[in-house]
Amino acid sequence: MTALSLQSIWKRYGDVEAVRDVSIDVEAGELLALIGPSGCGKTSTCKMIAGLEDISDGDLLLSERRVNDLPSEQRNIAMVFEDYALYPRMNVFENVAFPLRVRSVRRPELRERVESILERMELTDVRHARVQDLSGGQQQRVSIARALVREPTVLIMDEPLSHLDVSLKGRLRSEIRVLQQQLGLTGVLVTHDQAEAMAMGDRIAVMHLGELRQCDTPHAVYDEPADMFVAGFIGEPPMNFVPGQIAGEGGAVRFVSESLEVELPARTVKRLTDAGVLGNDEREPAVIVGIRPEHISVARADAPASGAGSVFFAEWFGSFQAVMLSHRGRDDHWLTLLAEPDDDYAIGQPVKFTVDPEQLTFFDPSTERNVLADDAVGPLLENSVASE
Amino acid sequence: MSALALMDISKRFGKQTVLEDVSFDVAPGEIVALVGSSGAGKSTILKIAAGIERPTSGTVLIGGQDVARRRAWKRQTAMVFESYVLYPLLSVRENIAFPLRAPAVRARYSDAEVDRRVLEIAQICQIDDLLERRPLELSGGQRQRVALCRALVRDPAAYLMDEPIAHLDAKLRHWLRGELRRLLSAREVPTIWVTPDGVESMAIADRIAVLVDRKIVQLGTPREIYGSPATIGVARLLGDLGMNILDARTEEGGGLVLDGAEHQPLFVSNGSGRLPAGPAKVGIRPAALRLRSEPGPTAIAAEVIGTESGSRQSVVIVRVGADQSTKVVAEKGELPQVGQRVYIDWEHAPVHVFSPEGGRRSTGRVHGGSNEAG
Repeated sequence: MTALSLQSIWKRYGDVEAVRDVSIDVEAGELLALIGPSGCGKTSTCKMIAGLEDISDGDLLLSERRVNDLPSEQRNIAMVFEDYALYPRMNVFENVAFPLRVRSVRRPELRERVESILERMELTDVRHARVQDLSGGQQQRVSIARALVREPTVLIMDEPLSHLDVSLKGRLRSEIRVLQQQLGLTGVLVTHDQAEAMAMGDRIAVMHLGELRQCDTPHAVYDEPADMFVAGFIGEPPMNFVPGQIAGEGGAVRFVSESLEVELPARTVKRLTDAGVLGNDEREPAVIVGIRPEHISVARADAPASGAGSVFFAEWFGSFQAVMLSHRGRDDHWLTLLAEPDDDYAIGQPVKFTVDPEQLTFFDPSTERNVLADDAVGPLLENSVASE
Repeated sequence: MSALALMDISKRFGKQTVLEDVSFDVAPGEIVALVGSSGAGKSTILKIAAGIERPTSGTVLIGGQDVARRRAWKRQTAMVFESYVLYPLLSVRENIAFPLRAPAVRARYSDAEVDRRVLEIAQICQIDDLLERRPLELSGGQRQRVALCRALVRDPAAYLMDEPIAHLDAKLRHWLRGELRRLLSAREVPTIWVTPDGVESMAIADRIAVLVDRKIVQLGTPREIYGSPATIGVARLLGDLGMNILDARTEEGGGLVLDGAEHQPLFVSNGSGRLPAGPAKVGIRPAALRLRSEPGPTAIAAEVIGTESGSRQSVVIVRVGADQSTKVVAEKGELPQVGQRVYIDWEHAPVHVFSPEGGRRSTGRVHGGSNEAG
């Protein structure tokens, strides 16, 4: 069942269009991560869902019922904020019980519902503690418990982790995700952190300048980004963008850029032809090719290579390292590739590399759209069939 | 010779101790990252080095000289704060150039030299197109970069940076880490880089000082600290997904059994002798475990309780033994269902065994047979 449906939603503040024609369906039990840079419209969208902002145009459906004109408190949506917004003078139990007390829920039922949610949130041991004596992670759990005790149709989490320490953030992120999946909660997570969105979301909706750019599973967005904005926003280290031409001679079709050449697989050539990029009047069409850092690897000195550069800088991350390359004899940021953690890369050292020809993304240089985005068969499907 | 040294620094505010016997030095051109969670004392160390705070005891040496009695502005350090203040009425260009116009150094820089330096550093921080704007016209991230430029434009005795790239997006952070690292290592000046982010510290620093509860618990290169974390606190801070820490016990003979789990003991091969019998904690990185559908000598039964997607892989969260949750890295396409029974295989995985108090006892690889132990 569709728990939440946004149908051509607009938000205008005077002449400013903060949200433009956004349509998203969230299924029951699904967590949707709404992500984008500041000013992209994600917060306005989430406020319209919660009823904290009027909807300028479009329909908002909750459990298949239009709720545009329903005030916030009648929508059965609960919100969790970055700063928890707990009542500091109350203990944990009273904080969680508060939404039921204001709804005059009878005492035995109130106690039962609060105790049950405290137990599921592993807060039973601290139920008499004052919230100010709890750790940041525990406080955030209390605020989630308070949101859940009302049994909302949809739980909205607005940057719930953004002011926690990095190491705690990772652990709490998993905790919330486990809880959401165990309880089958329907949720909308608003975040600016792409790693958090990918980790927690069943699907992620990427917004930019008020528009929904792409909404799909995390891996689909990562592997088949709709445009260069999405491609660059999702993934760290970010995707490499390489401008160049598609050139064909003697049967072999190659992507050619300065100091970089990749022969394209027949399947890719066919897809490019079907998409109208190849086989038209333009002799060597210009494209921007997106290459994820993990699809470039260091080649042995005697092996055939896609190109060569010199080390600009290497960053070591424990289980891998990210090596930034410059064009030979220059000090520019050209490409980032991922390498094994044990090798040493000195600044200026020459490096030959190979690019995985199956893993290229092609963008139109003028529209910045993925020219193969509408092509139905993606590599993702094949991956999920493969097993160990 | 070290360019910057802190020796036996302690700091108390009234009865409260905020730093205890902190000592480390930074060589010319070296970046030492100070990593720790909030409240560990990182910023206080930076302020003491800058002369903004006085240590209760201990010595600060800059260029070999004791600067304990020297005021902040005479120490010639360039500092970037997480909360930065720009001059609102000056343009970005004038803000960045400001330190070069100070009376003490003004004579050293010609106008042309000031322009050259401002432009060079503004290009590195990607704000060279904003030089004529006023700070109020900029976004938060742009202002943070102006503050960074203002520190980097100088030739100080030391760079002291408090979360200098914290509020920038991932793409810009990646770019700036590379650029700053090159710039700073070429300058023969020591840098202290404060960050709560262990991953950032590994990427940027020559050495890392890990601060836990007011003390430096480990000081070393990123590889040393990642490979042999001194305590559980250190292990948790470094690494992408964080290390799984599981309660276990060591049996007579050195085998490890996870609390509440039934499985053949796991043995850790290393040269550091037998582990003492009794309770222990085991640390293992999510990428070292393998998800299996069948049991095996080193594969332990678990239940899937959650799944996370990652960019290059997926993460499966499982419950093992006495309600202990553990992350396991899995291939992108192989996400199991929540509730599914799986086996997590420890074979050949590098593990760290810690005491119940959190100190590291041993590091080695797991195997199933007992004969190789010890």
